[in-house]
Amino acid sequence: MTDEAIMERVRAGETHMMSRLFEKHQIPLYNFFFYSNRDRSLSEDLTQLVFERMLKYRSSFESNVNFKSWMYRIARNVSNDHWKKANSRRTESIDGREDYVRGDCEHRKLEAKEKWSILERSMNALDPETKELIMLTRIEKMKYTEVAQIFGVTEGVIKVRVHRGLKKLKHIYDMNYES
Amino acid sequence: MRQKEEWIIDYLDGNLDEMELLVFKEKLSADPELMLELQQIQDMDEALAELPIQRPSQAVSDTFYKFLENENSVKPKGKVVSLGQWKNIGIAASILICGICIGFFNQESNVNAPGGTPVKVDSNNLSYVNLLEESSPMKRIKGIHETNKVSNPTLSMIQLLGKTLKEDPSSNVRLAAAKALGNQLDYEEARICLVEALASEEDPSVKIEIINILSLTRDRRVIDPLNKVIENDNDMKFVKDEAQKGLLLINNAY
Repeated sequence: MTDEAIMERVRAGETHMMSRLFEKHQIPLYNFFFYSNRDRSLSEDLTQLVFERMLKYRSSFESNVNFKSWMYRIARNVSNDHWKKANSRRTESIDGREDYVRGDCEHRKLEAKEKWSILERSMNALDPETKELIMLTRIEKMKYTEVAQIFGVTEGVIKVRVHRGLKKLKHIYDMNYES
Repeated sequence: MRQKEEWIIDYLDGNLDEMELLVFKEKLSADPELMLELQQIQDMDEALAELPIQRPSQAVSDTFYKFLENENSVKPKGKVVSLGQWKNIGIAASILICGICIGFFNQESNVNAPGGTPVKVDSNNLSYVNLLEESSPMKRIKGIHETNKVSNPTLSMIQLLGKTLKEDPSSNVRLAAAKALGNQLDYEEARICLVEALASEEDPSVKIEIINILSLTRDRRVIDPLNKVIENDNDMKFVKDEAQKGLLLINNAY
């Protein structure tokens, strides 16, 4: 059964079917958040929120829409809402977010290899949209048509942005590696 | 018109057709800057592919299933029940009735236990039937653990475990079902369920558990299913390695 067919049944009232989608997508979704913010606890909360929102707004799912595109659109909204709230609470904007992440990084030093650590740090220096694009296309290996649906642009635009994002990431990675 | 960046990404993803590939390779050999750019993008892409997959803690799963339970319990009374819901109610009811009937009739007819000893069902242990229908995986796992306490297993119990192993959406529950069936290997039905699940299971950890259980039976009928795992392109190398070890174990037994 496809994800879209399962979601159709959830929309029709068979909410228990949501567990199938949860089991299939919780790990990719968690990784999507984790490699964007490098905070385990926050990523778990955001993953949880996405599934809650999917259940809450199940009636807005349209069967002709790709399920993963719909899910990641919700994921992006959940993430944006979180950072908006966090920034308004702390009025520190980007700097506050970096401090938050650094604290978590200290815990990760023990478990991550140096290369991964540098790469993760470099990823973190990218803007949120570029991080999301790289996550979805290069790690989650989503189709460009699906990613284009999430961002509301053409496939060509996505490819150009991914290319530029990877180039920028390489530049930051090399700088971090040398330092 | 396709931009340079699109060419590079399409090349990386293997999305260029033969003609396009030829054109792009010509461009690459004529333009060292383009070659350098491709190399940089390729390096980064390879590094990203090596990033380890992170796993959320069990708390995410527990919270989700609690939320799902609450969501189900706050449904207003008198709401129209969909066809699918009726189906589930029907399945749950029939499993419960079957369990009770089998429990009743099995006082005389039970699973063919080794040595031909008739097995009697303990009707007090039928609580696992309800637990296996719960939406929370933790409760379903609890239901599976309940089956381990049943001193005289019935055919319906083993079939229910087999159904759970094949159909449950949670890999943790399927893993527990595989282990529970592994405790009932004296029964032919348990072996059949495990062999069937081996063909359909997609989660490597569950698949390895099934392979290990079946290998211990030293049953030559397991050789074919294990060979299928080794030949299956979709199975990961470490799963195939386990199947190979299992084959050696069985072959050495003869």
